[in-house]
Amino acid sequence: MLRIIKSEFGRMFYKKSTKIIYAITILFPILIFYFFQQRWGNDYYTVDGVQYSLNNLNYPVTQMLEFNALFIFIILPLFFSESLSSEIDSGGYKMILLRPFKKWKLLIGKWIALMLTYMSMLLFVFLINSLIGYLFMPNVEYTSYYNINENLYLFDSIFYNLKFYSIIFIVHLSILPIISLLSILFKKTFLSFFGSIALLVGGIYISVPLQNILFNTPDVAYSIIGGTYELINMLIFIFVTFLIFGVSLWMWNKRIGSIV
Amino acid sequence: MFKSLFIYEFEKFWFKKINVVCFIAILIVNFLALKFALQSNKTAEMTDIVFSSSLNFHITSLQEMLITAFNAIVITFCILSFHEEYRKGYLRMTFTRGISISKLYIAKSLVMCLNIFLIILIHCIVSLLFALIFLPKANVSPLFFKEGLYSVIDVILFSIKYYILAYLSLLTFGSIIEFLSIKCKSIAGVLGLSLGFVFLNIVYIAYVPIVFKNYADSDPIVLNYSSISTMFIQAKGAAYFAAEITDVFLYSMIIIFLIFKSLSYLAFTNKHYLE
Repeated sequence: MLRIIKSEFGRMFYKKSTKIIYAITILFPILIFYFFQQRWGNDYYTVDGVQYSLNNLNYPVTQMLEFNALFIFIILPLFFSESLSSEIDSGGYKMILLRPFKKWKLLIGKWIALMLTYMSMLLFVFLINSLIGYLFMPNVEYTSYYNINENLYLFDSIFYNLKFYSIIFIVHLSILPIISLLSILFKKTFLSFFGSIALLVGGIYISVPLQNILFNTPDVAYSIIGGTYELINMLIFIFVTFLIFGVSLWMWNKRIGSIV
Repeated sequence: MFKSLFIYEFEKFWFKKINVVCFIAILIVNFLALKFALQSNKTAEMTDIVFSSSLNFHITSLQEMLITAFNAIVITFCILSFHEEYRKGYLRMTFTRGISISKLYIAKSLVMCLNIFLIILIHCIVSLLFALIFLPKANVSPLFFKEGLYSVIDVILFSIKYYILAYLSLLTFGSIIEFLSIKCKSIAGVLGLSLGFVFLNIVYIAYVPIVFKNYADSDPIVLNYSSISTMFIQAKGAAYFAAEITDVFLYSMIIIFLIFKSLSYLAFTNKHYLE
């Protein structure tokens, strides 16, 4: 299994698109900082109508709205479909299937490699945002967050930020099973890409909780950590994600041989 | 000869299932727009511009879906008919017969224009039908960027102008994607660059009002600068044009369309491809 994951990593980092996406994850927070803070002078953020001033401790969690929209609707579908279905489409995946591994292990290896890569990207974003916060934002000893009564000092604040980023990570991962399923169904890269976007946008139109989770992910994360969110929505969301993971694994195992 | 080439391209277009799915998707797009309209009607008054009635649903639904669904459909068409055939080498089979590469490009472009026109036409018909069945009937309706309520004839004139510019903006966007499709080596590259283009457009739209802080939104200078952006025209420009505030969007679209069409023509008819 370890060797499968290593081979996936090797192929992934060989591609130019992965490098470009890494560059975007590094450049995007800097651009956001340049526009929102330097040019337009935003020095507060709003959660549920309450304004909080920006400082070095809370800066990493406050700049995620644009990042979220860009990644959930454009970059992640592109990144995942490039990795999952372009190999199937071009026929290169035949070479990998020829080796004596279980098919489902190959898919899980791919998933783990993609998850770890994306996790490292989010970590980059967190580190760069923290760096910007410490260099350019007002330095404070403690700060307050949405619906949390006590003031949080450095370590608690970093813990809060990491919890926030993990919620974002979990929500973003829901794209992965959708792309896997679509790349098995349609084979072509751009179809799985547009199909996933169409599904996400359709979901936004149909269900308001889904709209909140996908579009206002930062707000949902604030209210989950603050304890005001109706957790049942999130649990259903995670359950459905797991369900699609299961279905795509089953379909992959059954059909991949005849597709490539 | 050219006629048979055109018919051959047209048949090839309709032979691909994905293109047919795009046409069917118009129904779903309209259904989503209808759902959104019914939702926003609950809080809006009959005289509000956001209120969708049988008279203006074909405009509000197009305005809502132009940037998202229609652009996605245009990207799909371009990828299938230019990138896939050109880059994967399927076109080489065509050139084993004595066909001129420039004539083929013209035939392809004409087929693309025709099909985008069909998409717009079908959207118009379907949205009118949906509006007649599901939305409240109205004799007068407010229009984008115009004061007061307007009768059926005014709405028809407005719609024709709106649809013409919407069509032109889709053609222009198509010509840009066409150029990217011919130049890029991989589909992911085409998708990434076209979405990057959309994203840059949005950044540009956000940036223009900041540079011209002291001007009104509909000031000619602001509109002239905004007219470079295809996305701005799809979001607001078409309505500005239809409301007869300015014609600059029409000219800018024609110029951008011609520039990118000639660039794609030069890229497509490159002799190296035949060697």
